[in-house]
Amino acid sequence: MLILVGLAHLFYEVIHMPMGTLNLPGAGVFPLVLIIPMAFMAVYRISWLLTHKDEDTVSIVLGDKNIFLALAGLVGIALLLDLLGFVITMGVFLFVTFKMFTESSWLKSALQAAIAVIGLYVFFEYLIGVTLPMGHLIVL
Amino acid sequence: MDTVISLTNGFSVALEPWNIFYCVIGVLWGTIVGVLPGLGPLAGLALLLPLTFKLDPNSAIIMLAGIFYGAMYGGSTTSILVRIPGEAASVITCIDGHEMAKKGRAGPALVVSALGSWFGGTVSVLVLMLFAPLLSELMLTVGPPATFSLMVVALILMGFVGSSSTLKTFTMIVAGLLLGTIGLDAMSGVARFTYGSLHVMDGISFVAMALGLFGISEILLNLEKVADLQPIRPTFKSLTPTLKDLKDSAPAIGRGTAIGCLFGIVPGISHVISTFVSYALEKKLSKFPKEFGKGRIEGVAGPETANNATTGSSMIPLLVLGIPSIPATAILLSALMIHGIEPGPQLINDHPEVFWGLIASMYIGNLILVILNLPLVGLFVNLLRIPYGYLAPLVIVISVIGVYTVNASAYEIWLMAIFGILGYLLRKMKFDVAPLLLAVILGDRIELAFRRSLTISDGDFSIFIESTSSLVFLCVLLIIVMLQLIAWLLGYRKKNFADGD
Repeated sequence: MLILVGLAHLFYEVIHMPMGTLNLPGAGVFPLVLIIPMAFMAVYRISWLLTHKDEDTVSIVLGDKNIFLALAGLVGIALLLDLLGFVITMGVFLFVTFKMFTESSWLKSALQAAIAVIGLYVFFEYLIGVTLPMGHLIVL
Repeated sequence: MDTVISLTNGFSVALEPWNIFYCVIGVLWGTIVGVLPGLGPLAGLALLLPLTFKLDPNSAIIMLAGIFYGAMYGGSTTSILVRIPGEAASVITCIDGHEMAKKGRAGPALVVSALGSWFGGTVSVLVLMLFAPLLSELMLTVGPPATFSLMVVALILMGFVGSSSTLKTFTMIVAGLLLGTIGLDAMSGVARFTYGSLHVMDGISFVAMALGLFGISEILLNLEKVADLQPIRPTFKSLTPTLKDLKDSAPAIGRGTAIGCLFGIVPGISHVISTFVSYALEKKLSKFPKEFGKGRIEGVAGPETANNATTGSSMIPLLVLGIPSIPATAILLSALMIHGIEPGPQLINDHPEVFWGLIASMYIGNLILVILNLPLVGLFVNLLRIPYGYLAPLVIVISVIGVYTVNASAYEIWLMAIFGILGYLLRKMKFDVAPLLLAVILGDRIELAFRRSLTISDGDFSIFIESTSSLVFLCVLLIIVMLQLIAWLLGYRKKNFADGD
């Protein structure tokens, strides 16, 4: 159903794109050609699911602690990487995830995270030549 | 004679010390990602892709190709020793490979798997070397209508051979093509679905999408079920196969090579399907079919050979037609394009050093794989001792480094996270995400070919049947659709079409 709503929105976007002519098709033609079969497939799937309610049910546990932590970590990295730089952001991420995923002691996790982040920094920055972010706050 | 001269030039490129170094790094990294459950060739390639931006094109492609066939080999080690396939193409090896290991015959299984992988890989490079230039010359004569028809054939074929239901696979293909339209229209410069964001003007970052859909989603799936692994450790002494083992596996290796070379050209998940076909064939031809599943060496030799034999032949559609037949080759395509090399019929003429250098490096790389892997098997197995609680965060960090280096922008990390969640949900709902990725990469080129064809014909759709080569491809398409329709009407795929799981 969500796909149908999305497709309706895309359809609205597409009809505002130039369609061109047959000998010079515009930017909207190809997306329009794709939206139509996509809508048919979505309708078919919905009707199939309505008639076979018990046959294709998949339970997705979104509350899994590990998954939530990994995703929260990714969001944290996206928010803080430019600001705090590679070493601090990744150090904190590795420390928290090591602690939570492996249930090691705080000290052991901190040491492991520190070694890992320094190792990764040296490997990528000096051996591979990748420029890793220093962090705006750190530079200031 | 031309081939010999070109190959000699290729070897002069591949044997440069730095290129040998990158080849070794590639096959080592490939083996590692193949061994580690949760990382396959695609994630392995995507992780190192941004790091190749600073290398010259030859070294970059040699290293990435090394990862590709290294991962194909690495997956078998865990299948045999732990019964956990490192990647999808090694699933079938679990059956007889692990049974052999349980009986104390892990060594012969690993050696036969290595020899078969080497033989299959080398023959498939030979196939690539002989057929790619011929096909390339042929393809130089075709225009946009044939290119369009060929890509449609590739996508339809992908839809029918996908690992999920036909409907789900086609949904992924169309969704991928739609995603491919995001950004500036290549012909008119009109912004499509960009919502004013400058980040998406060039389209959605392929690296972020690949890492999200395959790398991050795989980690999320694995975080649900972190299991303790009990690998069986073979000793170096036990590696020697008996003469009977070699005699039994030789025909299977030969047949596996033929199957792999043939299936490698088919778009979709050819490397996975080839292993299943090989296993089924070996069982069918065996005098002891009932012993399959209980540790028959042919059940390891055939599929493992077929798996690696797809690596060379899957490069034919990539290098000659610019069509990646499996997701891993889509990353290679992306790498070539990043380095300013347009894969297609002109590649061999325009960049012979890349084409022949790659071929020569694949001969060398396949040999390095055997030489490195057999003595180091114990080391690779030890990688499985690393608890997933450490591995998952480290892979996330490497993914972030990889994706961040593309544009030095946190936007790419957001994108990777979004595609990670999307990939996780889709895979939970049993959608195969590989066709989505392949469709994204083909999307803009299929559209360009379609629109150019209509411009050439002044809006006349008959150009697609008037062009002989296009007509041939459309006939192939018709045959494929008819065959599927007949199969569906006969009821073979009826259930599969509905839920297909």
